[in-house]
Amino acid sequence: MQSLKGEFARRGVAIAVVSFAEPATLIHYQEQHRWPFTILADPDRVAYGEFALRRLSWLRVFSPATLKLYWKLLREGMKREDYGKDDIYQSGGDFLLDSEGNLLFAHRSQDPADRPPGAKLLEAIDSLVRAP
Amino acid sequence: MEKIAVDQLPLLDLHGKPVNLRDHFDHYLLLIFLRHLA
Repeated sequence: MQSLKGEFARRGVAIAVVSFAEPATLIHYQEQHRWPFTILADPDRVAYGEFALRRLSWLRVFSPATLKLYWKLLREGMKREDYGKDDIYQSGGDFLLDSEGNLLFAHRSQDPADRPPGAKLLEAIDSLVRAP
Repeated sequence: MEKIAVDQLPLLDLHGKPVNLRDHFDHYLLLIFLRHLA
């Protein structure tokens, strides 16, 4: 996603990332990772609720697709970092909004491995912009 | 079409101060909700 930031910007799309971690945790995280996006905190998960992002069932959290993803990440050398408060059951999602707050695109993850690739998001944006 | 009251979401910046999501738009905003920090 970071490598595609320019492509989103070219289409007039800003990117903001929301986490339910506390702001102090996110500062620590951002000092280490330096994501080139706005990072916002929603520790009470009110925004998560507004976007209907629910907690996943155990079966979805540990789906074959999730286990396959984690196995791949482990093989690539990714290490689990401890940032304190965590909730493996909370679902995530990706949403495109216009400046009026209209929800143009919504992807609510059905399991932890279910995130749309950046290229797919760009395709969706292009098709929305082309639509009459 | 579903509409979100973007200026009423109680989001915080990294210093814990309230932010108005509207201030973070270009023409559009892609909002990515994380599951966890990795």
